[in-house]
Amino acid sequence: MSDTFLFAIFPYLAIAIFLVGSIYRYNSNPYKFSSLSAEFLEGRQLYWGTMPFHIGISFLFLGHLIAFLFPNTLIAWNSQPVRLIILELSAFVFGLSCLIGVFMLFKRRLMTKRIRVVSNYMDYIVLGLLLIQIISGLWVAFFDRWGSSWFAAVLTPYLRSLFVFKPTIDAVQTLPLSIKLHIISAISIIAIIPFTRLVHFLVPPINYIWRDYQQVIWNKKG
Amino acid sequence: MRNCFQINPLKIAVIFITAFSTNAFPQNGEVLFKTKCASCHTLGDGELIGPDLSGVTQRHPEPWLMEFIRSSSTMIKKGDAAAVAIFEKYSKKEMPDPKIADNEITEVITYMKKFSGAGDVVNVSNSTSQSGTSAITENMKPVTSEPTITMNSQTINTGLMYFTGEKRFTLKGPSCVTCHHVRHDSVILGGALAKNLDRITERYNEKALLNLIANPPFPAMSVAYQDKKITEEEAVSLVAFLKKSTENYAFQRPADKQFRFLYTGLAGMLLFFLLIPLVWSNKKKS
Repeated sequence: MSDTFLFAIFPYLAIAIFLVGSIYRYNSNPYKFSSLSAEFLEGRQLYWGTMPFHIGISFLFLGHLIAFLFPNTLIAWNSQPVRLIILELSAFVFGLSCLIGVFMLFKRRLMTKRIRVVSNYMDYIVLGLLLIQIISGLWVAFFDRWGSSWFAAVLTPYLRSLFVFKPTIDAVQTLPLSIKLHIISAISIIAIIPFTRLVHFLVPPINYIWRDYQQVIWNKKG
Repeated sequence: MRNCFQINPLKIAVIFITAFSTNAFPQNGEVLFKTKCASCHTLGDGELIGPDLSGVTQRHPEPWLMEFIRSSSTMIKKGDAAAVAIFEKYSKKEMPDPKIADNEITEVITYMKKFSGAGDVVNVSNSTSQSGTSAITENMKPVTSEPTITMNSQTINTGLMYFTGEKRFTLKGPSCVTCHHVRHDSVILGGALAKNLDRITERYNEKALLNLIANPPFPAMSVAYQDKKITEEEAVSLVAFLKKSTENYAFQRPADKQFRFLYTGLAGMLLFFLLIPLVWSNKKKS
């Protein structure tokens, strides 16, 4: 498959699928526009999977967003070697936490009978893509260092070229396969969001932060 | 209302393929030459890393040039006599594939035809650019004379600071350590995206290095320093530092920081897992 398709056309197709699919799903089945939590079926493995995964992915997403929005600030921050190492190490720790988290979630979905019953094939596709995304990201962080800096210098111009509808893929074409895989799996994840549990990403319970106080009493300790 | 969202994916694909194919944006030969070729070749100003290309269209037929520019390594592998001879003559350094479309290669060849030999050389820097190309061609005059690199400690230290990022480039481009590693006791573990610069001055002379820094032919480096060109003075101090690091290569004993990074990361992850139940102790686990 040509680089032109993967890096200049596929991103737009993914965004189009994401937008049309999300609107369609929200209109057709609004009550399923959530993560379809199975916490009541199994909680312990979920806790050790979902907590490190969500904390890790949130920080990593924020890091990528900062590199995209403020590339010069990030390059300035990384100009001091100590700050560069701190940033890269933090990202690596969050990446490893994500990996363990997704692995736990995968294991839970495959091995727990009650969860397996309520799973569909898209659940496995999502977890598989997330695994590819995280492993390729860790690979990049370790073997193609220092990603935080060269993302700002090389990938931000590419992403910005997509936003202004003038995709410039010269630099991306020459990047190592691991980075290309990381980009393509990220774009694929965007495309499948409307058809999976990942739609909960679009409806975060923000009002949870300032909702009225509620007292929850469990009828069984544990 | 829902009909608004009924979009034919095939139509979208056709629109995007037509609009965003790289062939839809051909660049003119001069700009292409200056962005893709000028760091290694001149047109009448002598050899850099590769041959002087004035008169090249008379030395080789156009189909041969097309094929060579498209992928010189393929021709060398096939055993093309002329390609192999060039490869042997220029220190067995393969020319990287420029990754441009055939119509763009034709434009470059058409542009090179203007430089049929020493007597017909057009002044590249003064030649008229098409509208919209002036910004791209600025500051791209190749270094053709033998540069003077002052090897004093101040220049070398300045080069070291530019390399690590301790001193920012005038136009705030990223430091070299972002993508390159060089074996030096005072340099942290360098980036691994681009070439390792150990003993680089044994492979490239000073003139070639200055050209590579001033007009990077590598697309990623070219994008990274677009609008953030490294000045001549900065490039000279970088080359001085690289030359010194080549000379001192055998005496440098930097610690192996690659695996230290991995171990620290794993330790950090364990700490992170210990912190989760402490911070979120109220969350129900079963």
